[in-house]
Amino acid sequence: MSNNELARQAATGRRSRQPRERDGIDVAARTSTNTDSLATEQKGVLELRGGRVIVMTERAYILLLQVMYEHAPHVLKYAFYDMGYRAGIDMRAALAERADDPERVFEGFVEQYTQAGYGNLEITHFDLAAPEVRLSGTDLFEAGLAPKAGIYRTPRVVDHYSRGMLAGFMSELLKREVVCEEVACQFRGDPRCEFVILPFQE
Amino acid sequence: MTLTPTYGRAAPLPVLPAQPRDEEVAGYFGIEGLDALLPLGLTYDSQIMSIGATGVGKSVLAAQFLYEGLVTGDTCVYVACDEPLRNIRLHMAGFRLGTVAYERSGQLLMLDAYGRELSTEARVVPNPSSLDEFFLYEKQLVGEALASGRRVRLVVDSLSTLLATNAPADVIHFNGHRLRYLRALRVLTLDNFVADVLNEQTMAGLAHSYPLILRLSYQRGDGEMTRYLQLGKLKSGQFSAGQHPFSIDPRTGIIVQG
Repeated sequence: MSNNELARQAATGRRSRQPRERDGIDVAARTSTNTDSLATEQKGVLELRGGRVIVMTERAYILLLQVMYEHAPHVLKYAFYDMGYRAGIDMRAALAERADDPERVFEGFVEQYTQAGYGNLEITHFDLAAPEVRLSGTDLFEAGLAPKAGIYRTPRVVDHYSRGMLAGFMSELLKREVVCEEVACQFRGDPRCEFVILPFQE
Repeated sequence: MTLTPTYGRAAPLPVLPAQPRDEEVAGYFGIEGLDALLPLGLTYDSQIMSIGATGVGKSVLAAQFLYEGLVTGDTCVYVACDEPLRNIRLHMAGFRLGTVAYERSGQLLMLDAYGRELSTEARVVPNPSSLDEFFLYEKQLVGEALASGRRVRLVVDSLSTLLATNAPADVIHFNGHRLRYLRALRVLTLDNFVADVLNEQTMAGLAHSYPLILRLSYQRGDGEMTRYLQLGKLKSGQFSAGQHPFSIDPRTGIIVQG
């Protein structure tokens, strides 16, 4: 299960499927804590649908940004874009059973993005023929936490993970490489974060 | 002579929120190790002369400088003199930095001063060898950028190509006038110069007009060629900054060694 889906479930409080039988042991029987969503098989380990999960706090994310910046500032935007890109591909795979109208599939992705707590995002334009997609958002986690990271010299667009995720999902959906650019960002003082997805220049 | 630029506009995106021109905001190159050498950044009335041999990394630096402008909300003007605009788009796309979205929104204006009559670009300088004609088109595009109400940065890659066919005295006079114009309008400018295209005397004359000089060079050491950069202000006499080794990563661009 992808981190995105985990986050979505954590954010929505949706219940996981029935605990699986593994190695002949009923996981539920060994669960020492609480919810059906997050099962603990052993002390110090959280599991969800058979995969280990960790919860990253806002503070941990900021520390990650700061440490990456200290060690390799030049990779920051590229690394987060690539991480997001791969996560986007994972999310498309997770939605593979939804093979209907691409616009509906993309709407499902945006819904998951929002439910996962990444931010409030909506599609403002979807043209599959072009192809060109535009999205607009508020309260995206990267823009929201950027001021606390204290690593940027000047206000700028910072939602690299998000634009990577949008590009990865759309590339996989279209089976054609696309690039996503953020052309406005709340961290920069713009009223909303705005994204444009267009085909990769060939 | 009346010139009618072959300007055209692609279908614009919906109007995005405009960043007001804030004269107090500093500009940077977008290259961490280089920006660290400029703790206060650059004011927008600065012009930078970037000099280096072919292949040393001037165009990579120019692309990063341009992209830094885009992500910080500047309206950017890129003038291609040495290769088709398609190459710069491809080059930036290789860094996962798409330019098309910015072009469509009007935040990035690209001028082809290379292709001449063979160009298929919307904005073309028909005869860039004519300094007057080049300046006319450049001014028109800068004016269009300023009309956006945002801060403006300009990249010309490379200016030496345009200047090479003109007399040294004309070159120095032209560029002095051009830089005064750009300074007055607070256009943060990066002009690339290919080393050895212009003679030493002409380069010296040109350099006096730039408040900031960035020299990119090769150096042989331990049997390998190393790139390094020097940043200095000519007003201070000579290059005061030390040599800063750098490399070029195909995925992330210029990396200045700590």
